[in-house]
Amino acid sequence: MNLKKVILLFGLICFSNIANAQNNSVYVEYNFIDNSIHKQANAILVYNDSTSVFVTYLAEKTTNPSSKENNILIGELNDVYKVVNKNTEILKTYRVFEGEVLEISEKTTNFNWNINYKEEKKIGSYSCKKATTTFRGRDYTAWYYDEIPTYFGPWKFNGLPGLIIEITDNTQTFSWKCSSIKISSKDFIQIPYEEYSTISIQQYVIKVKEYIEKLRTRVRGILPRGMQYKAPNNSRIGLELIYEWEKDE
Amino acid sequence: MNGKRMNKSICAFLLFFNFSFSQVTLKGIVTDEKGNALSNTKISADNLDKQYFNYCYTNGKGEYTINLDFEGVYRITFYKMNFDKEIKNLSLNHIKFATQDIILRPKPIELQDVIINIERPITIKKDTIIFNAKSFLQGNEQVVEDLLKKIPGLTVETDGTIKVGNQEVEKIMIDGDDFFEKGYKLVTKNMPVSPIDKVELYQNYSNNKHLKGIENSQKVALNLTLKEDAKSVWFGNIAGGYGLVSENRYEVNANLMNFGKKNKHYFLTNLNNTGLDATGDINHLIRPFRSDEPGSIVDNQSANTLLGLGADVPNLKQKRVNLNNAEMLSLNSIFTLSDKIKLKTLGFLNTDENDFFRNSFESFKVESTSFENTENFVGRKKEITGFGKLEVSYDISKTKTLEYTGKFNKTNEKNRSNLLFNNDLLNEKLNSNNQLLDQKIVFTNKFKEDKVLVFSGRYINEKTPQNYSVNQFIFDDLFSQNANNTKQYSQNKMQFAGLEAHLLDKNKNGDLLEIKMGNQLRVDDLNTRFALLDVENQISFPSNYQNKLTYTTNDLYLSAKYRYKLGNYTLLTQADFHQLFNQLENFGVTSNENPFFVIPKIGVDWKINDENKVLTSYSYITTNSKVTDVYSGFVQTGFRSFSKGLEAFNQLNSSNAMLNYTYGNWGDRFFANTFIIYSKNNDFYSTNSFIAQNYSQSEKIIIKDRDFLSISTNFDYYLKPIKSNLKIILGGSKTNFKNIVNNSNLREVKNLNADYGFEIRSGFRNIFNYHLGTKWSYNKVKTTIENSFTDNLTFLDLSFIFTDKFNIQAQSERYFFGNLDRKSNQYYFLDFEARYIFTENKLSFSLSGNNLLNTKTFKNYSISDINISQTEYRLQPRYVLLKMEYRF
Repeated sequence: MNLKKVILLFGLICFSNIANAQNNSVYVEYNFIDNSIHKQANAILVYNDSTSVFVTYLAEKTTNPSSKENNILIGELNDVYKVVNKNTEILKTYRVFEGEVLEISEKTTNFNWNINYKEEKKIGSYSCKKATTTFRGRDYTAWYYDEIPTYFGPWKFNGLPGLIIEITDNTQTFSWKCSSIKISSKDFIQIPYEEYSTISIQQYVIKVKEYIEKLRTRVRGILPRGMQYKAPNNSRIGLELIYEWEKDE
Repeated sequence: MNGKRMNKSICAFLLFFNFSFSQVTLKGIVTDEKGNALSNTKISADNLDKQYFNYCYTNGKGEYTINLDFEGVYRITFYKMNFDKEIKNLSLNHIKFATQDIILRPKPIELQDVIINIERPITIKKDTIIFNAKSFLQGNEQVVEDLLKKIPGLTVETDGTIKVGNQEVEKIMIDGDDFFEKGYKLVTKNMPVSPIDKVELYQNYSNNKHLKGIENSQKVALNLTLKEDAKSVWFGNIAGGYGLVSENRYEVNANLMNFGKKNKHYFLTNLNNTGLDATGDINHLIRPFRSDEPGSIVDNQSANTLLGLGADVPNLKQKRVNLNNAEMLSLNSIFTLSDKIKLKTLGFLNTDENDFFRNSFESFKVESTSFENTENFVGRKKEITGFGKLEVSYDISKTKTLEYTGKFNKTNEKNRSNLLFNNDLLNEKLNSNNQLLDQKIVFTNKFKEDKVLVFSGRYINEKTPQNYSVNQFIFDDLFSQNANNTKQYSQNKMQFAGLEAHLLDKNKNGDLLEIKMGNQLRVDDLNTRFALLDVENQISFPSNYQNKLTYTTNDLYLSAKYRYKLGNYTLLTQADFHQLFNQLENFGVTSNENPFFVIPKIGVDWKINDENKVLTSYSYITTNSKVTDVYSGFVQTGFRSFSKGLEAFNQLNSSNAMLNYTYGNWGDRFFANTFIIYSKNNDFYSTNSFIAQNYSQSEKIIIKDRDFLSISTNFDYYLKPIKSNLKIILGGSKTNFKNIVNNSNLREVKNLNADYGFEIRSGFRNIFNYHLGTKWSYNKVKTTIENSFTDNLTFLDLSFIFTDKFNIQAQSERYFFGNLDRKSNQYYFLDFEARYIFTENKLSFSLSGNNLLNTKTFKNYSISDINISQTEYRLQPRYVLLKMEYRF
């Protein structure tokens, strides 16, 4: 894990110039519901021909100073940025973890969508088609709009024949619902971090696991005598429950 | 890269009928009119004959490659946002590769805004999330817990604890009603799931709905709403345990519930002789703990009981020292009389029999006097308590609520003892009763979004009559009469009436202003009669040993409290203004006093950064005398002790300061927390006592200057290599005060305590976990002489969780007393419990072994400024209990 200082602005300015030149960057707003922590958030997907940036605005906008400490176990809530480069097939996630900014890098996923459905659903003025997939332990149902063709999608999703208007995990814990789509000549969203550590998703998963382990041990260990702490069986409650490389373990 | 999908059945069908199929790859470049490559262009290929479809996107160079599983005629569509759609029909037969380049023409498109579809199984309002039960049920759910396991974001732990994220829920209500608070597992593990309509999750929950958004609350609570047409059914559980290899030990605990839309009932009973507090399960219903909540006007007013029968027990687990036989029955109901009116009733009847066995040896050394006393005490307490509570709440409107609470308690307690005091055998009898009537009315008005006014009124009437007699006369040195036994009758009757208005005003930046104004009147009647009797029951009442007084205190007060935030600082300021009207009527002589005083309090919370936090507070407190401070005659408070008050009013002043420093958060590897408390009493109640072998008499005196300093620190450090937490405990306290004993001068008494120890507790994820700890306590008392000792407590707990259904817990302790003889200075205890769940939430068994090393007695050592005492107590001997729990 090498810490490098990158002036990202340069790259972003390049993107936005291309976007301006071709005047075809698309700006999609989603309403994201995360019921694992019962939070609603705005999420924005901006993409041009080769790149997308997806931001989830999770940062607490609360005036209550103590709320932050209560979230120790689920980690601080801060905005998460994702950048996908379609040409290199790399997805980079920028997030703050334990006070440190991480650039988590992974290969884009081939979702193997099942689009073999006849069902259609009208969302707003769009007739959307159904697609399903399974990704890292969760089953998803997506509704996409054929007439806005794009490889990009919200969160880590990609590769449907059209833009994802709505996607929900089948336990109804997570959902993204589109609230507006604009063709925009606005600049791309900029990653607000200038300094970060680059790690692979595999390294990140290990890091999180160690962190949770540490916290659990901590909680267990700090309890007064006679009190028991029982961790839930499934240690992950977030979007990704299992990773491809773990299946053989 | 490209999404690709083929229906497997169609594939199989084609495999069978079309033997000559083969794969075709189509490639090409997509550009605009100027020759610029167009990436992110969708290329879709439709084969209508074979119902086959595939698609892909162009890469950064505008190139695409699409693999088609069949030969045939395809309709190829090239489509990119802001460009005209191009369609080509291609016949791709008998070839493996084909090329198709394309040029797209720009065509800006208009996009409409998408409107979010609202229909969904989860609705999020502000701070409330509603889950439709039906959407989450799969059909195999039995009890409420099974449903909650399927609600996103809720975690049900293996022991039934319910958490939202990582925070435990405060309570689980049924249609807004609650019997159990944190004891909600009784509902979730027993109530059938079928009548549940919705699960509502409240964030930032307040017990008083009108205080929502005004109180700073981080609590979460659940509410289960019932279906309109749900039939109410009776459900519950019963748990019974019986002693296997011991004398008769048993416990029975049964819960029976019925929750209907209109009426809700909860009955429970608890019978045991295993040391359990039978009313423990309903304590929160009897005395809901709502400190600091508006409308909780004076929860601390009660009458005094003057006398106890020396029925103290050592500081061990209750089940070791409580030799009881308890029976309790409780009936609770909530009636929804209309949408706006609710009636709650609670009643219980509790009987208990407790046995006490105590042998003590005390050696007194005061000035020139020294003597030794032995006491062998065998006592029995029989108690019967009846308690009733009625609550009515009336929602006048959305923002106004009127609540009435009435409580009634009657306790009759009979104590008997045989006490061998040196060479005299004394029989003590004490009948002690309590009668309480407590009525409260609270009107809450949320007159603006962020402003609430609470009016409350309360009337309490409590009596504590006591009759005490001793069949021997040991006070020859004190009284000249030729008596041979004594009696004392005493009663404190307390009447309290209070009225209060409380305003809570939260301004826009979240700062809270509270103003309280009220008047509290308390009238105490204290009557005591101490009598000397001879064989013929001729009675004399020694003067100075009688009381007949009425003490009235009226407190008119105004209190203002303001809390505001300034960057990293939170400042809390409070000022209480009191105008008192005190009146004392002692044997017909009346005296008055009307003092006025102000109590200022200030607190600063300073968050230096995420790691370092400091809390400080300072207050200058004035305390008015209580009835127990002002009485003039001696009252017998034990078989050989008398005490009396000061015969006058006083207000005592003290300064108190507190500092708390926290380093890190408890999730961090290193976490430390330090408390420093200092208080200085400008004047305080001390004692002037006279101590002799057969009696002790103490009277209150006021002395200047007492200091108290306490420092305690905890360090927690996570030892990564052994996945365990190390906790280090350091603490000490020091008090200096003065008293008078046996006509001495004012003598200084210095107390010093120090605690130090460590604990190490594992956080393994596998079957086994341990918790080991040891702690030393050092005590020193210094007057003209000095005494000190060091005790130690060491424990080791082991936990084995084999599966969710089977676990074993073992706990062991060693007590060591530094100043006792070698023969009796160490005590070992071992307990274990094994639990096996036969059917989840239906039937389970457990086996618990208590005091397996069969330690029958336990000796304590203590020192004070006048004596050193060794006290030996009898303990609950070894027993093994087999328990079964069944849900019906």
